[in-house]
Amino acid sequence: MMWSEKYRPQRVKEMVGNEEARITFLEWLVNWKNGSKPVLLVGPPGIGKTTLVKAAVKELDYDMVELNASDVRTKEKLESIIPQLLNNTSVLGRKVLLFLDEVDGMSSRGDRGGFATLISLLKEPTVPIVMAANAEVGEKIKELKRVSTMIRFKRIPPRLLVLYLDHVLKSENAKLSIGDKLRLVAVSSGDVRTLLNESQSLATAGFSESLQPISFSVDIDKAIATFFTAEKVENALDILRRSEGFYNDPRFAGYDSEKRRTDKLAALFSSIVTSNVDTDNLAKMLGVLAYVDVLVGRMGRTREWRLLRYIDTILAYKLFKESRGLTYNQYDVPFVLMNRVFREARLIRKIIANLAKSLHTSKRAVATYYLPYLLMILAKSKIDIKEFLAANNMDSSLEDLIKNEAGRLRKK
Amino acid sequence: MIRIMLGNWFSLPRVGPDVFSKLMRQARLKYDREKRLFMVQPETNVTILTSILKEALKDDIIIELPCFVCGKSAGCAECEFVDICDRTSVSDQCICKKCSEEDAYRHYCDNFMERLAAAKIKI
Repeated sequence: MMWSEKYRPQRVKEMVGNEEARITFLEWLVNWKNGSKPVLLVGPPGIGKTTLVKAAVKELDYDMVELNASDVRTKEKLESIIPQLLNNTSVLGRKVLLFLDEVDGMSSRGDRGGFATLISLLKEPTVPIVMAANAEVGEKIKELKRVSTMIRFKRIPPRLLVLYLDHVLKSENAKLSIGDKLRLVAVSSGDVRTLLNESQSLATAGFSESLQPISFSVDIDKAIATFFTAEKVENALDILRRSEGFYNDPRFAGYDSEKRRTDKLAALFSSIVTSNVDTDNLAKMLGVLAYVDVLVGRMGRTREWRLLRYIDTILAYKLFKESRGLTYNQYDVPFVLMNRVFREARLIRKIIANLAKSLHTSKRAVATYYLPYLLMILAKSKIDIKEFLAANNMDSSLEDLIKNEAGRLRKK
Repeated sequence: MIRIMLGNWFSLPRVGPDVFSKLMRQARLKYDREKRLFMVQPETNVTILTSILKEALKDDIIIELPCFVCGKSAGCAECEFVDICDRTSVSDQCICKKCSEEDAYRHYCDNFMERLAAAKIKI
């Protein structure tokens, strides 16, 4: 059994760090009465927010209803669960607490309408409602702060981590050198879960992935390029592990383009589809990516983040043979096409801006409603494009683009 | 050198209205008007606090954590973890070397229960 589960504190006093936050939370729960504001626990992962709630619920004899990121939290789902909870205690008449873990992870697509419903349901709680979030930023957290009491959690100081680690080692009758403890505490960055997992690997198997000399990261572009040119599969695996990339939510929900760029699967996908490979190999490689994509998605949904460490190995061994000689490409369309997209998008934006000005309307309206018809008119009538440009104060650099587009429409 | 122990009241030399305003609004430091003392509270941004004071006072700011068991300074300057402990982002209390020797974990847990009792919280 994993130490992080085996030694998950069962009582609030058995936890380490965030003493004031723990006391504040208990104070809130002990003194809770109808209409008390919900509480929002905010802090980085692995420092005991969920553990605190579970331990407090046990000690204060509550029944806990938990909805975490792996559950669907759409408007319909929340409306079917929360109002019933707020109107009743449990079947046996015991006290009920509602715990919404990872509320900052509620996606606008996957949990459609859920967030707005949550805010409205939080206003008049009849049972204690506890929410947990990893970061204090973003619009969602701002709104939640307004309707709840916030308790901040911080990373645990290294000496307290060692205090807890020593307690676990003593219970397991295991030993680690002071040097190993120092390095484990350094790699865990205040995260108890990581510390215990890595300590268990080191104490029981004499191996800790985090303590291997792979702690420095390589840019995703260099890492993927080196992956394709590596001579041995072991080297390919090594560079994948060292890359600064990570495994995103496969649907990219909420990630900006820069974050998406560091997604290893997206980087491999864009490189593979834009390389010159035969159809059989392309199919095989895309099959591997699709398989891994599904695995990453399942790990995300079931919150089995520890399994992500095996993805690099699967990718390296399954892609190695077919991917020799490929090159890294950030974009998932060929460069020639990408170049045209960039260049023409700039020119089209210019046309739209000019037309919006002369038609006294928004750029969005021009792009959506006016431009397609305008191009159609230019294609079918005998209007001189040069004259059209001059009449609308547009420069002649746009002539070729409009001519080409009009020509294409004419052929259709 | 100015030493600030988290969770304890401390005094500062006169910093002027602009810096004072920054300390209150940006760093969100707590101030006791009568005693003219400051305190770091849970919502204080310690990183911003140290940079404001460093710039205003042209002096080194040392953040120290108190020991949860004995209440004295945890001795951060002499701690073996000083290089890997970012005192601006860790939770506000630690344990000093003396208290972390014999049966330290039990003492730490017992102390937590004493704090709960002091706050009149029964679990």
